[in-house]
Amino acid sequence: MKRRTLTLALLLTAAIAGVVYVSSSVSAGAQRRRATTRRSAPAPRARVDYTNFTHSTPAHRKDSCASCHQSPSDNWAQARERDAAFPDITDYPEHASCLNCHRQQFFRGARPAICTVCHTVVSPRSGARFPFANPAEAFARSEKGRASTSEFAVIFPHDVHQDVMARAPSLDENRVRFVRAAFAQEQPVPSKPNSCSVCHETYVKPGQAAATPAPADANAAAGVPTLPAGLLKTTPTGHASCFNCHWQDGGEKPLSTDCAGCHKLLPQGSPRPELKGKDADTQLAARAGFTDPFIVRKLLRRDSVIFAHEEERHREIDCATCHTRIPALSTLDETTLKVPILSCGAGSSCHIGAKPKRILNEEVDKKLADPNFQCVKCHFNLGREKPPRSHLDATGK
Amino acid sequence: MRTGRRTHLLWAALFSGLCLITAAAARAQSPPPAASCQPTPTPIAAKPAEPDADAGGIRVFLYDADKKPLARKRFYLLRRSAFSAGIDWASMPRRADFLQGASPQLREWLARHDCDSLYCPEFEAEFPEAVKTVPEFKRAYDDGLRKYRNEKLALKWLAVNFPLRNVRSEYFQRKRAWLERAGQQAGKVVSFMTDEKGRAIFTGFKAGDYYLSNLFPFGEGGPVWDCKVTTLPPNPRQMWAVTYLLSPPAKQTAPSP
Repeated sequence: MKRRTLTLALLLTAAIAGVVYVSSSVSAGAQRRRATTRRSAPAPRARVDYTNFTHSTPAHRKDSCASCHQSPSDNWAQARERDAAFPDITDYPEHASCLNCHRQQFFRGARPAICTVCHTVVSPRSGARFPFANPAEAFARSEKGRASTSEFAVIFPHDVHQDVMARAPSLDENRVRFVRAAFAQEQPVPSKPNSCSVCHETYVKPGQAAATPAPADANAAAGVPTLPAGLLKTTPTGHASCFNCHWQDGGEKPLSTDCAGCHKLLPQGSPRPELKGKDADTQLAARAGFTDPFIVRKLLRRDSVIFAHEEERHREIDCATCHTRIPALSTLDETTLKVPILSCGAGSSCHIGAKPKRILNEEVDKKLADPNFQCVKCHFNLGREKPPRSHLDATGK
Repeated sequence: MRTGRRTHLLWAALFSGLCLITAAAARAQSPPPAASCQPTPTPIAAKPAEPDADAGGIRVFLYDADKKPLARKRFYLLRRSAFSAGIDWASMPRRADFLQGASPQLREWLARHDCDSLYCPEFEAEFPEAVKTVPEFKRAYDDGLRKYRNEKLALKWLAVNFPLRNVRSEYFQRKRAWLERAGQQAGKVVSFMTDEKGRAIFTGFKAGDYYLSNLFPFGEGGPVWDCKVTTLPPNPRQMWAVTYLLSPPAKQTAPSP
């Protein structure tokens, strides 16, 4: 009897222990499952804006540029006027280069958002597209071009190109030459051996015959200085002055197929920092009739907006006289493009000098005597401010 | 007797060969001739610049032996003397070595120009004439015309389609690589190119002792400058604090009969 009771008690204890164990393991499993369920729940996906294409997307950076961009585009001969045309990348990539990854987006809804990257109207019956970013001049004039900023900065090593292009007249050219004089027409005077002018020409406003050097009228009736002609030099904005040497079919490295050889992708969300000069403003640019966005940008980064490259005496001076640090110029850092005040005549006495008193000395003296005086020989907005240390040092103040 | 004579002849030939080899080796390894460097008599600022401070600019005027300014010539500011930096002068590329396969017309055409490559923009004005007289240019033009169907483009892109790569830019590339190596060995700090007046202003470096050099002679057998310069403090009224006049050794005039 006693033995049976003991056995029963043992069995009961074992049963209770079993029930407790099973229930506890079930609850632990449920907890694990809940926890697992929580962990495996899909994270809310970041909403991708397929109307905005960017080269910075990791998937877009994975492959070479040539995997999407065809060089040359089929339309290169039509993309520019006949004599200006040259093999170039002047059109969007084909659909095929997007479809591998974006098939789903291409067929989502009646008007897929992704189509608006290139197409003006999202409709199977319309193939109209926004202008492609190249040729840059035409794109910059378009509505889309005006609203967009490039994701790329351009790398251009000035020193290498200076060495390639620099050519001084050989000794033979300095000698007297005999030429047949009869019926000879007057030959154009050969240009100075100035390699800069290969890429940088004097900018002529549309409708203007030539960049005739005219002095700035600093005391115009309205009290607003007018800008002289021949103010600015152009900078190449496209491939025209590159591909005649760097074309993929036999040219020099970096080849036209190696886009990254010249185009540096900027970090996403940080477009090229614009160097803002202190002198010009957009109103002045508009009033002076500057509409070309590349030229306006150049004007706005100036500290002395009145300076004209084509002014009678300036155009006689070698570029390197003022742009002394050409090898150090970096197209990625526009501050390196600044010309120091001392290049305006310290040593040559063009604009700096005490005896006879040159214009910088004169204006600094007037400014120091009367804080309301505005320096207008070289400046517009900046002329209202105090002369900087560099100007005081240059004039010995 | 005959054996003795042959032995003498062999010895003589061996000796001459050795002499020739020694002469050739000596010629190949000798650095280019040095040229003169004269600082202005009185530098504008008199006391030397403090180390680690910004240095005043160095203005250079470069003249040829006839005292004419030498424009568009590159000079380097170096930490070490070009002649004691261990530069391998014998490996300097020579233009003549990059003319293999060139026709006599092309050689003659190139001899009239002094560019290191075919990419000198001033050549472009002469391309229309060159395609008529130089076979290589004609071939490049025909190739371009076939590809682009545009005469102006075929002319403008003449260099791209030029058949001889060694003539086109190989010399320039090798020279550049040589200068890169030599510059590294001599501790290149900055480089500048002279303007049309033969003038260059070196700026943007720290105070100290440097050497000015062109590293690569401007013409075959031409001089290499190796001028020791000591910087001066910046002059607030000028971009330079000291001026150096550089000129090659004077031309040797032929003795009068």
